[in-house]
Amino acid sequence: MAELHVIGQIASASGFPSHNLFCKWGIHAGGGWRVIEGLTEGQTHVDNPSWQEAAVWCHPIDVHFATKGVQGWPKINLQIYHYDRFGRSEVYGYGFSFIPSSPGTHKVDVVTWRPIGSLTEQFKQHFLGGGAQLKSPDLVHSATDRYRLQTETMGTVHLELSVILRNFTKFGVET
Amino acid sequence: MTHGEERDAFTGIYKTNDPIQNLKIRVHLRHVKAAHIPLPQFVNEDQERDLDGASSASATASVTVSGTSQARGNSSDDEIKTFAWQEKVFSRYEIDLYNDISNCHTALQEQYHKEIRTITSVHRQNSQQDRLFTYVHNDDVSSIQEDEDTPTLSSEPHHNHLVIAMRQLQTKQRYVPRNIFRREKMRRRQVLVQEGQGNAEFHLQGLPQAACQRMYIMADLSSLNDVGANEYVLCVVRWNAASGSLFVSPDICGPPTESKPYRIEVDGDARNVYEYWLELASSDTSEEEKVREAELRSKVYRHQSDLRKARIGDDFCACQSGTLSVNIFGQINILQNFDDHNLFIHYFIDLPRGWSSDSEESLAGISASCKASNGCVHLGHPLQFNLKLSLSELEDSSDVVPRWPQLMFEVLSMDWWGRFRTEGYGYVTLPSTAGQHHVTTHTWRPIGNSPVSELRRFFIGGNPELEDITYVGIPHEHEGPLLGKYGVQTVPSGSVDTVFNVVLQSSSPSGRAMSTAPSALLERLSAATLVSSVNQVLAAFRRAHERMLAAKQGLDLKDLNDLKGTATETATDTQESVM
Repeated sequence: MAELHVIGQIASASGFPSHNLFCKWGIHAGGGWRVIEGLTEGQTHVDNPSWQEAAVWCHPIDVHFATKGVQGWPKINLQIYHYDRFGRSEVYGYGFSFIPSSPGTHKVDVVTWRPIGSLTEQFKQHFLGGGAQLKSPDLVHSATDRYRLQTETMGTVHLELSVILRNFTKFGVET
Repeated sequence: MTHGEERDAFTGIYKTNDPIQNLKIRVHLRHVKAAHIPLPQFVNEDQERDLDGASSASATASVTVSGTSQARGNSSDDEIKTFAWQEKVFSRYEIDLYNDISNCHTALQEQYHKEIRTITSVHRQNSQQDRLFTYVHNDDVSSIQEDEDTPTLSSEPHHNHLVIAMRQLQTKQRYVPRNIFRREKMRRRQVLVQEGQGNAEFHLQGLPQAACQRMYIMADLSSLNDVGANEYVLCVVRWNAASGSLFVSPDICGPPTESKPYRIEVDGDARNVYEYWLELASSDTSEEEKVREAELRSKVYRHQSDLRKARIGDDFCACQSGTLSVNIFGQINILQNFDDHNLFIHYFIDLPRGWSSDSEESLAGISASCKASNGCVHLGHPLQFNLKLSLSELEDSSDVVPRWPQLMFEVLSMDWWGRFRTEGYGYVTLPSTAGQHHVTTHTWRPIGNSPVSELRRFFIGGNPELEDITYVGIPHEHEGPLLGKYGVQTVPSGSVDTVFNVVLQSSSPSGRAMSTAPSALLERLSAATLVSSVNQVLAAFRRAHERMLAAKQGLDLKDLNDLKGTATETATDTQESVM
């Protein structure tokens, strides 16, 4: 049994078309992994910077995993939403990143995209908001069947993650 | 003014989980009687000239030495007292004050009055020997506290609003029961954001200093006829029970034989100097208790790790012996500076000889198509492979170092009418060292020999493509010492940013931890080969053992033993030959 401890934060987001953003996040791992301690899901507050470009969240992440194998290394899924002035939330981006496999502190930039629909839908979205959402967010981190997606480029989310590994070397794993 | 024998006053901050009642501080107070700094008007002209001749520093030093030696000789005047936590020791002034019942107004003062009556009935206090006393938490020490709150030597101290708020908070916490605060906190927790909180107390509440119990160790250094005129704070001890932090200022310094003292000049008079030492006098826990505590702690730790093991299990998926498992967790993140705006990527992993993969279908894929903004396309496409390098196949080949798998890709664009254009070709050799790797690959695309093909590409789509994508690296059918790509015309295209997290796993000898330093690939391989050869020896031994068992029928015990001996010999022979 080896252990992995991720401590860090969802620091900020930049490059999105407008402000008032919040982020839903979740950490998923394969079957051999168990969460010993910590929250694997959460949602940040809504940040509305008055003059900076980046939204700042500094949302804490602190998860302790134990694992039976290397397969299914944990990854963090992000969904960025825009909270508009009528109180509606629309998807502004999906993104994911693997938790860095080497110990130490890492600055991770997660690129995000969002699905787009037909021309009429894009026209409606421009004036009314809303827009297409994924049926299941699993598609964000699965490689199969992605060719069906038509997406557009959105902003980048910046993470700061510190990784602590334990007992991996004991089982002949080099990270 | 600094002094050679003086010690700087720092606050000592300690964290403890033990009950504070065990705290004991011993104070050693000594009057330095030697008036070693003579006043200028008493010094003769001759003496002054003498002092000028010698260096003034050495002169003072010699006087100091004589002064201290004199003081050390005369130790009967030293006062040593040990104070327990919140132990009330009355000063001479207090004894006089509270002895008279008409001065006692509160319940506490009346209690002090009773205590003093019992003390004075037992013995009359020694006039000179009772300089040390304490103020405990319940005493009124507002004047000392005010002095404590000014960090400078300014004659007109200005307290900012935080100081005033902190003092209010401390008074409030002293007199208001704690559970009222807790109720307030509970109420506050339900409302996340409070409007218009401009209250300084609100911000100070979390500080450990806010809810401290205090104790002052004091000295009354005034002469006999004006008792209580010169009270000096020797030590302030503050204790926050909630966080277990103990503040001792100045810090505990140790016994007089080992450490420099703190100094007090009475009324700024350099001839009337006191030195004092603060010592920790709490009795240490016994060895037996320490051992018991350590045992308990290790038991708790073991229990927790047992619980964890019960949930997850102690085993770890080892890879097969004789293989090196390469796990890639990565993403194709960004495509940049391509001509077209709606891009997707088609990729596959090219596995050389000796490599295999658990899941064949994931080795190739097509990403989602994505519209660019500012020449940048965010793909975020996952790359998750588990590749295995078989060492037995490697031994047969002539290569010294195994060829490493490559990620080959072509970037394509799709327009509104469903026409495709090839935007660029590129390849990445997967990183062979463990860790995180950021790789940027620049791509190119072939162009035809005439401008017609470019015109066709622009207007109706379609352009020259590579028949075999492995041509971007070393083509599969290539043989010979020289790889020539002369004759293919290309134009540079955009770049592809990828991230790879590489985790290597090889079967290690059980129970032996691998070194944490990133090992060279060859070392790792040789370790794995060693394991496989040991396995071969074991298999040979097992075969011999089975043969022996088959031949055992009809043999007596003596013959059997002989046979066993020869079997082991052959096994060791095999082992040596393999080594």
